[in-house]
Amino acid sequence: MNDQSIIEALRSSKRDKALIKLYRYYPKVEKLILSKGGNKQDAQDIFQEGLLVLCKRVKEQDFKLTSKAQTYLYSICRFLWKNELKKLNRKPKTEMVLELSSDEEESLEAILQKEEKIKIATQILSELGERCWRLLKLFYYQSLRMKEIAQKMGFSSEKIARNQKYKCLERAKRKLKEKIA
Amino acid sequence: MRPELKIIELIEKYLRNELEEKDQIEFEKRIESNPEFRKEVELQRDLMNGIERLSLLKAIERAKIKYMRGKWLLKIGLGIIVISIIVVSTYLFVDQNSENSSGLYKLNEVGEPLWSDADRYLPKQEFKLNIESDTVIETEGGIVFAISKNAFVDENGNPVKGEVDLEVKEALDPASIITAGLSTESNGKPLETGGMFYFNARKDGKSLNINPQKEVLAEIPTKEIKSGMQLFDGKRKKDGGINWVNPKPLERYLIPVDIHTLNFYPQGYEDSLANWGYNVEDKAFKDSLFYSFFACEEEESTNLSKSYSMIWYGDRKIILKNYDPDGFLMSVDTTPYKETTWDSLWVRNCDVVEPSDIKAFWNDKFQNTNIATKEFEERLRFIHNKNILRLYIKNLHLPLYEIDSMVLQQFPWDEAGRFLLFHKRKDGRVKIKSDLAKNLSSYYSEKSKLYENSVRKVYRKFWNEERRKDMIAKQKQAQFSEDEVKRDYQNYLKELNLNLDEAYRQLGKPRPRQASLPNNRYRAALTSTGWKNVDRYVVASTQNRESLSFMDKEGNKATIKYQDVKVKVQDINSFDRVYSYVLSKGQYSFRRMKRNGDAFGFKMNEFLNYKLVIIAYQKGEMHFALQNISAREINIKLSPSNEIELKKVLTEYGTKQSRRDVWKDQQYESFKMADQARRAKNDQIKELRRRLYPVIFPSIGQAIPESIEE
Repeated sequence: MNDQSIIEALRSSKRDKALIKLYRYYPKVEKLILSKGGNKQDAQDIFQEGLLVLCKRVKEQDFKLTSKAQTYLYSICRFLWKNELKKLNRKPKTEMVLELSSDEEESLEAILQKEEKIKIATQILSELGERCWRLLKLFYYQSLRMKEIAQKMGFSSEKIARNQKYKCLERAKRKLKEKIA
Repeated sequence: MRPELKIIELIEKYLRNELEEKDQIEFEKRIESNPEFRKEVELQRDLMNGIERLSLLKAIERAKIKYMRGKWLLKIGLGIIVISIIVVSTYLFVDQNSENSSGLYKLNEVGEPLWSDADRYLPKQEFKLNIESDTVIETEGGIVFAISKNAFVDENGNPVKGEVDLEVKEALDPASIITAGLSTESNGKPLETGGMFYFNARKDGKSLNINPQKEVLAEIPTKEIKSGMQLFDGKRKKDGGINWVNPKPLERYLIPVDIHTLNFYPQGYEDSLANWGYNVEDKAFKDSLFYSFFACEEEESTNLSKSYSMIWYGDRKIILKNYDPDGFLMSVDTTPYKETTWDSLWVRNCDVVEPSDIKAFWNDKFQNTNIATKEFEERLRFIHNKNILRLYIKNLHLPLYEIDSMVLQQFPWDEAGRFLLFHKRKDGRVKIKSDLAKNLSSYYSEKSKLYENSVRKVYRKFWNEERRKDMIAKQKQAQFSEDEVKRDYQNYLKELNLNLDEAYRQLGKPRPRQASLPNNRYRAALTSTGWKNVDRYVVASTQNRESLSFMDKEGNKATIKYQDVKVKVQDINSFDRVYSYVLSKGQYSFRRMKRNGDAFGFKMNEFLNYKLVIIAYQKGEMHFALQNISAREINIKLSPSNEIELKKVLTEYGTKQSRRDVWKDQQYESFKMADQARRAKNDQIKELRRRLYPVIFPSIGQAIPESIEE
């Protein structure tokens, strides 16, 4: 897989394969984080978030890959770690130079803010029952039609599946409300 | 659809840009004007975005698992591997303790004064560890050694205590292999290497052996996954090189144990039973109770048109769903069991591991397979999904860690972390021929189906039978009440007749033949005023069983006397149940005496001769007494008897009707007692099943109860 095809794959259903390929760059990122005052757990968290931001970013219309995918991912992680240190009010031992353009930084910043906002919602969703989660994922993430979902999950009709989907949402919403309040 | 769900639907359409322009404008106005509504929309938007985030995170987690797996496992090329492990020394020489100038001990791990070039050129890494606890060490090159406590023994085979010195040398990349003068030859044939290392433990300079009962695990880092890896022992040659010999597979073979010593019950099953006072030593009881549970059932009912589907949900309920021809749900009927949960309505529960599945492999057929191992027992505690279980059963010929990784791939969020840990342990397999493995797999599928069906059948049959018995008991009870009312009324009529005759006789008047007795109603309440004749007083006296003193205008008197009788039974509380009957010649049938505390009471009519019959039961044995009522207070001692004697005695006294009725009454009482016991037992069973259900099906049991509605 070359850089462009990795990016293509991230946008498509071959995302999983691309993610495995990208994971090969983890050791480099780990080395970076370790050298800038983080530990292994930090490195794993940052790398994960970095991949997530990358997945989001490549889907945006103004995205253009100007360097190697590996370098870009590395830059994102560095950006994230710098952010993290800022949050923790810690300074890196050595100055971190960012190689991203300011436009690019802004785009990433926007994604990060969005992601930060839905962290609680994500937490609630991860605690939802397996079946609810599957139903919601098939519909919203995999964009299957209700009819296919009903078949896949063994609902006796499309209408019931749809109804259950709303109930799942309702449940998640209620829990989210409780959590925020 | 409920209005709340309608709102969610509407918001969803808006967020997905599916509203028509007109509706969208209206919707946005609503957001503007109603902060509550705006909040709802926000929450739902967050959730929608959260779904994408969580899906991505899970995909990333899967990628990580695959990546980590590659890091930890070795794999075949055409040739193979290598890694040398070594330890041990049995022979000791006096001067062993002294190190020579190159930092090497005089004697190597097998007690020979022979060292290779690698020993000389590779830097030594030393670790000091306390062998009395488990230790994990990581070398500079990334080899991880897991050393269990007391893993080393001295030359006599006794475990060593305290501090142990560990030395490690490693050559994991081609450069260090070459500079150390290491070859990758096994008896002259080339090997592909995954790395080489030397590992020895010493105490006070003396080499130690690995305790045969313990183990030292080594994980060697690699960039590629290769399977079929093997471990070679390095044998030093006189020329300073090393020959690699004695290859062993890296995987740990499993040691099967007697399958009946393993515990395949769900977590908490035995504990719960023990807590509730059941005998958990009784394996037959535990099994039969456990195997009687089931979670999944859906069947078309034959009585109903095709558009109905009937869902049985374990023990808890039956749901009837009625669909119209287009497949839309028209109505849902549920049984009276109110504790149904919303989840259970649509989760068909056919994916959970059923006790019948366990039964199908917890038997001698699966002795000496992967199933009959501690390692599988551990996994089973976390397997709630039938499809995961099937992976292990269908692949008896594969090592467990390979199946763990299938689980990770196919069911990434069913306890993925747990199975990753299992996978990392590299638990192997119990060797088994592949055709036997196939046979066992099909044996399993067949049996688990069979058991599952028969459990349902037996269950259904049992409860159907019990429902039938409930019906019969109800009918009998209705019949009994009816008989009782009839009998009381007939007795009353007879006694009233007698009292009237007596009253008129005492007054010296002929009794008028008008129909003053109601015939067509039972227990008619004769309270209407207006009659000023004796009839009315006699009726009231008979009804209330109270004495009557009546004087007419001419001064004639009539008296009817009722007298209290008290019957005391000796040791009444030692009997499980006691019945006291009065029989009388002039009566239609018997009367039952009312029990009041320890005594029975009755109001006796002086015109009648009464016989007293007491029947009691003590631990199923019948006791009996019969005597005339003469005094106002009677003390009775019961003596053992049986049904035949009772029948005989009854034949001699009372009327035919009363004898028959007492007998019938007794029969019914016996039936009632048995039926009560039966019902109490059923209630107990139901309660136990209700409490065990979430223990046996933890993945269903956690469902949040909600009301059923469509």
